[in-house]
Amino acid sequence: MQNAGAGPAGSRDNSGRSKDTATPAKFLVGIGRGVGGALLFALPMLMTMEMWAFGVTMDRWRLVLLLLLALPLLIGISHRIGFEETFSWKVAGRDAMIAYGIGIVTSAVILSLFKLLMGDMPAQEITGKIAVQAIPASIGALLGRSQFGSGKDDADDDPKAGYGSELFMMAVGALFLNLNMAPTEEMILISYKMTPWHALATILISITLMHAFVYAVSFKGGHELSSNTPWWHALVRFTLPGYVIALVISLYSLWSFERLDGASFTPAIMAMIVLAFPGAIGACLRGSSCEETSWLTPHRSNQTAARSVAARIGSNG
Amino acid sequence: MIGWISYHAVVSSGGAPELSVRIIRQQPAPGGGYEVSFTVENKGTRTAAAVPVKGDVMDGDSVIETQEITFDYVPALSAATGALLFKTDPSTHQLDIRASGYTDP
Repeated sequence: MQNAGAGPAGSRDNSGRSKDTATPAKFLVGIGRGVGGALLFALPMLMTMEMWAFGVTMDRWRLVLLLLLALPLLIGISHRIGFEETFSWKVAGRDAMIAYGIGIVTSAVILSLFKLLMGDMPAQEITGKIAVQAIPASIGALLGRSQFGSGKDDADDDPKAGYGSELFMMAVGALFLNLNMAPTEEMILISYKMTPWHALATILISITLMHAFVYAVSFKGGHELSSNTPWWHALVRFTLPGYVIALVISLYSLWSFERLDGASFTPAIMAMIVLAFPGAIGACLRGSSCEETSWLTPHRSNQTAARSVAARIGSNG
Repeated sequence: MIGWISYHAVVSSGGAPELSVRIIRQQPAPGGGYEVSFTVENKGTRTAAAVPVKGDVMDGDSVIETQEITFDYVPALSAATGALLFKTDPSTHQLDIRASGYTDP
């Protein structure tokens, strides 16, 4: 988490001052970072056999639903972190569309490179293959921007950067890892291998690890959880809601990729628990890395940090 | 959720797959031949992997035609559907479809 934050902190000085002038060159740099992010996050999926097959076999309604749900998701992410500091939903929407475009083009190019897309394929196969990949790629384009570059200096001025926003970023983190893993057969295979005892242990470890991350990261900033805050406060406030989010996202991802079809309640629950484990890790890492730069501000000057804390307390009421 | 899993942890320990095949319908296949759709049910508390389903068209004691298909998984307490394609019309003969084995996942 520290490392993830160090990148933005390093480049913050360069771009933070000139952010008022959105020159074409700056825009191109943003696009470049977006492509980098899309590649970084989507290459594992672009090179996964199951993902190619889903382009053809996936139920079209589930694909449409996934594509539609990606829109508010991208707008939400871009409102929080994006190609530029977005202060209005209109700009966030525009950035989300750019990210979607980057995701689609990047996926199409890479799939063509691997000879997975060819001119003589049916149009449905071509669009399906690109569509399945475009969602993780476009999320990557937005997240990559924050990993590679700047653009989050004023995130703490964002009125949305509150508890709900934190949970939203947890959902993004969970979804991100889940989109990576839900298509693979191993998720259900692991759940079949497990006994219910293993599943119980997985739940326990998921919650424990999540709580450790939430607790450790919150302490770093020294305000969300002061040392006299009881440990269960963070558990109830962040860890358990985060785990529930991870479970829901896991269930949706599995359903979306048709891993639950034909399975009855218990195998579905088992698979959900298996996939929620990486989801939980993704949720707290994503959530906390955002927290790190927006709320906890370990890399910033004391003055900015103090302002952030004040804003944070203010927004918390 | 923890309660549900715990309940199954207590109940289902040491279970095995219980596979049964049920024919849903028989009809001429669009591409020629005859299609027999069926569902494989696993009433056991363990998942069966690599389940071969074998269909024999019998005339008396002699087997006229055998077709086989393999299911990757039949999850515990769940069902999977599939179809076998025969050249001969199974409705005019005896048809025997069964799951002929499984591996532990």
